[in-house]
Amino acid sequence: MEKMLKKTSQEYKMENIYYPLETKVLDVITETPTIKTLVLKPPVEIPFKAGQFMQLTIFGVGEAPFTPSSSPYHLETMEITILKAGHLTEAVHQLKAGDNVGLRGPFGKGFPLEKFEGKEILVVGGGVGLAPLRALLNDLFHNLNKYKRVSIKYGARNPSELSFQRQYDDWKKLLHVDFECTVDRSDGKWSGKVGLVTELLENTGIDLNNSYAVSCGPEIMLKFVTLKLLSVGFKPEQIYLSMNRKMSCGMGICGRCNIGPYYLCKDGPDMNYAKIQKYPDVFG
Amino acid sequence: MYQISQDRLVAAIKKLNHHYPIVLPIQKDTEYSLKFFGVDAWVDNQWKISPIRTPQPLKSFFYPPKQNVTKYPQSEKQVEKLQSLVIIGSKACDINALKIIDKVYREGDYPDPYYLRAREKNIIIASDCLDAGKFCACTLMNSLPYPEKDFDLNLSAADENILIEVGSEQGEKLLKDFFGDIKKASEAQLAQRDKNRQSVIEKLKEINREFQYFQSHQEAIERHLKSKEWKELSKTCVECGICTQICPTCYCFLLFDQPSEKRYERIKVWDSCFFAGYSRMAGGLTPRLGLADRFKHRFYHKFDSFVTNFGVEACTGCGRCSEGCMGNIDLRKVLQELEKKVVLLEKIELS
Ligand SMILES: Cc1cc2nc3c(=O)[nH]c(=O)nc-3n(C[C@H](O)[C@H](O)[C@H](O)COP(=O)(O)OP(=O)(O)OC[C@H]3O[C@@H](n4cnc5c(N)ncnc54)[C@H](O)[C@@H]3O)c2cc1C
Repeated sequence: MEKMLKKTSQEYKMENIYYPLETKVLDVITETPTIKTLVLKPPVEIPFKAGQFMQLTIFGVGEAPFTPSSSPYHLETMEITILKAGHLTEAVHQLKAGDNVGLRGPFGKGFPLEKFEGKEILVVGGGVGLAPLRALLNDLFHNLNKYKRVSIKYGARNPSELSFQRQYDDWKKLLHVDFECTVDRSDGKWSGKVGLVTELLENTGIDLNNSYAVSCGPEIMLKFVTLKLLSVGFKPEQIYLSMNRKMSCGMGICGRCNIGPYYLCKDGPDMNYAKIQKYPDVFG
Repeated sequence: MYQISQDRLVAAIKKLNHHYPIVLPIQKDTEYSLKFFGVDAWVDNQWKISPIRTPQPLKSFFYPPKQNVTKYPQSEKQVEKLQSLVIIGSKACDINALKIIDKVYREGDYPDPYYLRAREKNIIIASDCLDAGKFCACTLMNSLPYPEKDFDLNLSAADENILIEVGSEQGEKLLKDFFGDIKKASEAQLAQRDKNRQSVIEKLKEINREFQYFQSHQEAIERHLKSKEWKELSKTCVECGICTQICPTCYCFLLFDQPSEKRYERIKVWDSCFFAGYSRMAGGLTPRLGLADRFKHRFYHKFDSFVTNFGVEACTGCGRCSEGCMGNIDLRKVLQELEKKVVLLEKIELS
């Protein structure tokens, strides 16, 4: 995206921070009955950090925040994986290859990858929450020698709702990477684990003194994952949560996405739990 | 410091109006209809400094309640020029409020180009308060009933004449170009101005005598983050959101898109943290669903998190929220109640 203008400008050649950059939809991948991945071709590369998010415009419908699920090292196209959840996301699911959408961003801080170096990283996803985490995974995999271990735990409501299934085998083949998933309800054909994702956190064999846990998913799941992580011995400082709040601007100026004094759009959306734990509305 | 007669001030305003659109407060019948109007609404050739701030906040000339912020696709990606607007008669509480909003809209990583443009272009001819309203509380909020800086020109009353203080280079130029030959103010006039100012301060002290704070509001609110007190305090709130709309420092907005000719337009509208939809997410989860939580949020933001983030409270004591509240909720009382409860709590903890 053309560089956003910082600070005051004397002349009125100011970049309009509300203008969405027109972007072509190259392809639409159906992940699950409720989740689709848009493969976008921005007119210019949009560098981003894993965990940073975009404001996606559906023409005439509006904007909503989504985190790219593709790799920060692959900028020719950008993938965004979206759950059908309401008005705007319904419209997303109607999109076809060749349609145009708009993009603003990236916004937010992204994950503190520097901190993760030399550590064991436990990545816990729920439902479409694996999408933002996939950008992180792509980054971790790109520099795998920097991390001691990457352990992925993923849960979905039922087997057909597990996203990115086509990639699990590739992930499992990577050195020092393990992947485990579970579903709340089996569908008969399912031979894997049944149960909540928190059950996968019981015996991870993770070195508690040298690790970080990162989680993204529905708020209720984040709550129980956090409680579980604390109960197995993680300290609040070791937990990063990719949080959701309603956002309009994405730039820290429209007011609503705060948890305590932190605005998720500019201070997050990935927050260290130690920072936000004291606020009563941390889990909704 | 200069002086000018009422007549010549009026003539200068008219002259200014040949070059700039002007808004100024015009008093009609009762105090309550004191509003900013364009100069064309002003018919009787009389114009006086208004006694106190208008009900309408100054912010509306810097970020209007509804603004088209972009058209897409394929349109001008840059923000167009704006003609300067001259705003006459603004009070200190409103000007201080702009300084607060500057922290978010002007000094952050993503300055709002429309606000920035208005801040750079608009000309502020401020004025002293000549009286104090029942809800006025600037002196409680570390402020004064007259502006000390951040204006182009400031008008004060002294004897029959009006004193003009220059606050910026632009103000200096305006004075030269539009006010003709003007005289320096006399010592006696300055003394008179100071006396007027002091008497308004005294009046404010009298009005606010029952409100004494011993603690920072931030401390008081921190102690109430999980308290049930907010329920009681917000009991009479009818969720109309007027307190946020007329607040000179409230800046929250929402963007929405709609078709426009053959393209689409993005509109920015004022929003209010008093509305449940303000934080409602997909799937219906609303972090501050209950009224008490939303009510708390407003105070938390103004007197606690804003201080954490920017080092100042987001309130200038203009009193509009208390005056406009249909549930008779007085901001000063809310802060006082919170503090009283903290004092009580501390006593309990001690014993
Ligand atoms: C940082 C961030 C990253 C995200 N990343 C992803 C991602 O990668 N993938 C993904 O699938 N999702 C992601 N989300 C969630 C996604 O933004 C939401 O699912 C999306 O905004 C839903 O939009 P919608 O219009 O479909 O939902 P709707 O529920 O139709 O509504 C959207 C908004 O409209 C308003 N609204 C609708 N109905 C009402 C009503 N009755 N009253 C008041 N207000 C109403 C609400 O304010 C709501 O927030 C992310 C969210 C955030 C904050």
